[in-house]
Amino acid sequence: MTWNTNTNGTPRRTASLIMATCAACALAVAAPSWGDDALQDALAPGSSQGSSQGTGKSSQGTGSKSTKSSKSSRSSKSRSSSAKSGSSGAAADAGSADAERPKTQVFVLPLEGMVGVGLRNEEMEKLEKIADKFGPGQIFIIRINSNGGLVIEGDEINVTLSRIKQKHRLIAWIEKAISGGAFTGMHADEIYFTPEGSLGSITMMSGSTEVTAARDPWKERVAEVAVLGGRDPQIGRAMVYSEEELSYDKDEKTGKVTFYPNLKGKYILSKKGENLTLNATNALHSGFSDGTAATEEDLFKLLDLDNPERFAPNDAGHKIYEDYQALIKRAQREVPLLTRKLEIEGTGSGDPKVILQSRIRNAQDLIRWIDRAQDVLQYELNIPPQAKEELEKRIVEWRRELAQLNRQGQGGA
Amino acid sequence: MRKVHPKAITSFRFALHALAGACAISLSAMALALASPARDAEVAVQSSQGSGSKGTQKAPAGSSSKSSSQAKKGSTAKSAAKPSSGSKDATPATPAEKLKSVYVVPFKGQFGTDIHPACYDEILKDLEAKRPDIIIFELNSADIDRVEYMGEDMSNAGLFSVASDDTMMRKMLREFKDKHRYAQQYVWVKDSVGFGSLLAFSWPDMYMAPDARLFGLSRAAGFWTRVEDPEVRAKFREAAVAIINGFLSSGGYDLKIGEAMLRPEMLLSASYKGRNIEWREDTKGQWVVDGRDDSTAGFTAESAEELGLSKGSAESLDELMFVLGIREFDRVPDDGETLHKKYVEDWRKAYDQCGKLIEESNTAQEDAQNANPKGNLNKAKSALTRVVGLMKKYPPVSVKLQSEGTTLLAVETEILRLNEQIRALSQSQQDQGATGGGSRGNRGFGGGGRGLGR
Repeated sequence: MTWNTNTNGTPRRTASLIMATCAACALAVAAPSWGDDALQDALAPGSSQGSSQGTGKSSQGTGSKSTKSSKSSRSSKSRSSSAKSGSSGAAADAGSADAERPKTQVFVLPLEGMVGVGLRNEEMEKLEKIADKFGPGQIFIIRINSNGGLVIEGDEINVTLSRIKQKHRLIAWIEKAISGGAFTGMHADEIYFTPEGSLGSITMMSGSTEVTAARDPWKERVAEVAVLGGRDPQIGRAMVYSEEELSYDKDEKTGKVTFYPNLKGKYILSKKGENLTLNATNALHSGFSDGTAATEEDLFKLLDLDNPERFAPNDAGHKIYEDYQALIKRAQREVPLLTRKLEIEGTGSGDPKVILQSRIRNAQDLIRWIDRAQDVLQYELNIPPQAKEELEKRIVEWRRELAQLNRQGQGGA
Repeated sequence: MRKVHPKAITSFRFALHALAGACAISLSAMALALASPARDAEVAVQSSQGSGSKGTQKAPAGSSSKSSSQAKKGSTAKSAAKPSSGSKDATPATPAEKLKSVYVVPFKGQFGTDIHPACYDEILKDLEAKRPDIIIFELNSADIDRVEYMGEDMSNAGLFSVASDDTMMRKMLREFKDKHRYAQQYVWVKDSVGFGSLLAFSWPDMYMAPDARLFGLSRAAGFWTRVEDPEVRAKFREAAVAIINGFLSSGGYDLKIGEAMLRPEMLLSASYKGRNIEWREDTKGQWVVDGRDDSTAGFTAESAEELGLSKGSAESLDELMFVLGIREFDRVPDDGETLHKKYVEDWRKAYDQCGKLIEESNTAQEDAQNANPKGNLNKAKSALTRVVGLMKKYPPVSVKLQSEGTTLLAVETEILRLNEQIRALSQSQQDQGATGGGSRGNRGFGGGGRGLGR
């Protein structure tokens, strides 16, 4: 079967989807044979955003060396009105009524791995359902560690995060958000970095080539997402296309940041030929991020969520992450070996019945894996969903052969 | 173990401003020399010799008061440059005062194997139990010369994939930095050429040995230089630079330093602006660190200190403590040095054993073609099963073998094949027993497998 792994022990890339963003694995990615839908989606025209010269978030006040922007700046962020009016907003009103109000739940959802595999829309939706049970205004923190991935997943993430923002306070906490990871993180009105954090490099690519036909719409699409998170659209553009320059000035008194699509600003973020990717320090200085936090405890302090009378850390996000990551790791470990077993196991017996039984058993195991971890198998191990159908057909054939052999055996006896 | 500083330090550098003119020359020369990995090696030797001679400025015994004052003077100058400097008055602890406990964590050897998160599991547990006052991260990892693990074998150069291994390294650093915040933490660079430099820059308080080198991040360039499409190359390059710069950012270092250490086309110079150093991406600064567009930036202990990256020089732990203002301290017995040494010895022994076992397996498979096929194939299988066990027990063994082309999956697949060959032979023997010695045709594999290459 064409989706088996190759003989040197590494998965064979027979058919990889269009990768807009995967910086880490794209070197190994061959030309796509399907995934055109993803490309089409990505090519969907985005509205032209912003002027050639814009301002940063008006609320930034990051002039000090503190790793947090001023509280006043945060409060003036473009958080969704419904999220503001929820329990979080209500809880912000000090007073004796606090004790009677239910505590605002603080969820942290770590999202780790390729966009579409480890970083998926599904986990966000799962947590959304749990958060919704507590009513609007819960705190929804997504911690991102990703080299990027599938454009098509980005589309779904866009819909889900936009919806979540309408109900809850969405915060992105960036460990590494490259490409699709950056696209995901920029949906949040509030972005915090870890001290080692990085975010950017959103050029759309297929195999190891830029999808030039999609460049302009993609650039505007990313610019739109930047605006959606309350940021300057030029930041998004500079993360997509290396010809887009970006610099800024900062009023040291007010903290107001003004971006320029050229190098006229005092602080240069991206020159021609470069692809904008930020670190914790320049993200904070330019007002792109709201602060830097190494641990959850630090983050909660920065966000003023460390008051146990008003806020309750909820472990549901961590649980979702741990369960799913455990599944991914098991799939990565077991499935390649299973495909080998499918080829090899039973062959030594010389008995066609034993061989067929082994194949049926291993094929059934593989189908179970396709059902349980389809994204991992499809995008990391190159076992497409169509393989399930093919395997099922094979199993039918093998069973038929087996039955025939059994009948022959009985007849012979 | 109570440690008392034996003599005063004399290896401090002089006031930064006084050296401005000379620096521009010496750093430019170094930048020229650091152009390529091959040249890296050559220059590093030269610079280390240079530094070494300066490192011998130690005052002779008996001149401690003078050298003490020199040290203090150096500290003051340094302190003026960087107010947060670790230079302090080194005062002995009073009898009633509890001595500071010092725990050493070595980042020593090959990056990616000897310096692998798995090597530090025990150390992290030990730290939790012992909770020292001070943790010294002793970095000694150079992909060229001067280190015993390298020899002349470049296959021992550091192993690190920018976008794959970064997560585990960040996690390991966070374990040290965040879970042990109760302790003062310092990184002490004895030598760092290669990815180890990531660790050096991950702590804000860096000290160096007088002949230490600090460069070699340019190896990461392989991540993007192979990419032809200019847009994708830019994407990969900036992603890699930002991922690596994340380590520098966490230590509070200027991102321009990381860029210049990674991208040959980038220039680097520095100037003093008041008490602060301002880094520039050109050669207009007072000190030119890298004035060429075909070489990456690198630092010696001397240049790193002059430019405020390193807060001081120390040849030994005692000296380092003195520089930190601690004349007497308790070195925690059986600290990270002991645990790391043991783990490295164990995994390297296991790695050597894997080599022998793979060899043994291949030989047994060859022998199986001539005599006792079932016994030899079982022997081959048993050897490989032990290899799997060792690969799982010691992640560095797996990393090392994988770098040589032997993956865990490849070994397990070989075991599957051997299983089937053994099964075929057993079946054949059973058939022979049942039929009085006939053959069932081409069922058996006949012994002798493909073996694993190393």
